[in-house]
Amino acid sequence: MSDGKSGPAAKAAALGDVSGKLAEMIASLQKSRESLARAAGPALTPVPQPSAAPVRPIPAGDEAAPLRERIEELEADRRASGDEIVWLQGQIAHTAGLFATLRRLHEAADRDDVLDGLAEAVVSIVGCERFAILLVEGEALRPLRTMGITEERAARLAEVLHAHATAGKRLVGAEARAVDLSLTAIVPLAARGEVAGAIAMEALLPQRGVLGSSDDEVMTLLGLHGALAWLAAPEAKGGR
Amino acid sequence: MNRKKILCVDDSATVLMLEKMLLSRQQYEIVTARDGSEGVEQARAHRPDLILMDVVMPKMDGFEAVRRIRADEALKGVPVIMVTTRGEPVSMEQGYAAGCSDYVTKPIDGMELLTKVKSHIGEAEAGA
Repeated sequence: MSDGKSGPAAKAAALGDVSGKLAEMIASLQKSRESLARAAGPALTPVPQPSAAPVRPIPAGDEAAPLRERIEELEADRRASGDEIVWLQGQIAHTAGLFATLRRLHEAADRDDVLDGLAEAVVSIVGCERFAILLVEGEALRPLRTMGITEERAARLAEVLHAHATAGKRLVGAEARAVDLSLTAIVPLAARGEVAGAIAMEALLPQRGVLGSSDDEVMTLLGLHGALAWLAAPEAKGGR
Repeated sequence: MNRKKILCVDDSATVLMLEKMLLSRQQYEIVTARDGSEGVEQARAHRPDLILMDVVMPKMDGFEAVRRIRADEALKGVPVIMVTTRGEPVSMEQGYAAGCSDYVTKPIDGMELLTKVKSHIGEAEAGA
């Protein structure tokens, strides 16, 4: 992944280490509390169990300072572990999205089904409901699937994008807008040195943020595996 | 252990696969349907603990499917979470009016989905 961290497996291992450390610290904290309780006498006993432990006031005095420090350390570790878990869940969902897209494309029964798979990924994984999927036919690009845009607009996009798409250049954000003001991204469908077509995306869904590094991975996958699936799939019964 | 059953209704095979992957990890049993009409049938046949329902689908949309589920005595208490690209308030109001319990917008945020699923399945248990 491109978030400056290692892969999910490494993260899971790191999280395992953190959990181990946390368990050691809890055990050590428990021991400290027990010895502190023994030293202070009956006023501090019984020692609460870690599971359902209500927060008890920490006794004032020098002997409690190390305990407070340990609790603060433990709290900081707990927060860090929480952040790691949230990050890992995000990575799992992202990876699951990539896998589902990949499997959907390569399980496609024919070229129509490949187009359906691409459209599903653009809507549900990228978050865009205004797009055209354009495929090379002879010397031209033809819009074979569109959503949220008119036929005229799709035909116009096919003309405008021909040079960029057939050059296999992926353009995102300002680069895409430089080609056509309404575009958010142009993703060429290219594999084995052959350009099969392109996906032209206009506005993203309102709840979507801007395209980020995880979207790069989705677009790379769509561009390569969309093309591979398209080139490998048999023509649909209708002739495509 | 009795696994909780979730019915996922969506015309997108990609979304069904994604939901299945995210939820199976949590030990839920998953049943799927590809349109609103099949969703209602599957709900009657499987009596799920929770339903994830897409809105725009062929044959019968998600709103109508939820209305039919709510009209069924055996299913009216089952929590239904709409999973949709339409995040605007007017669409949400339509969903709540039809009888849905909650909303998740696409693209699916895995953490949000799991949190809402767990929360509603918990609610269903408490209410049983």
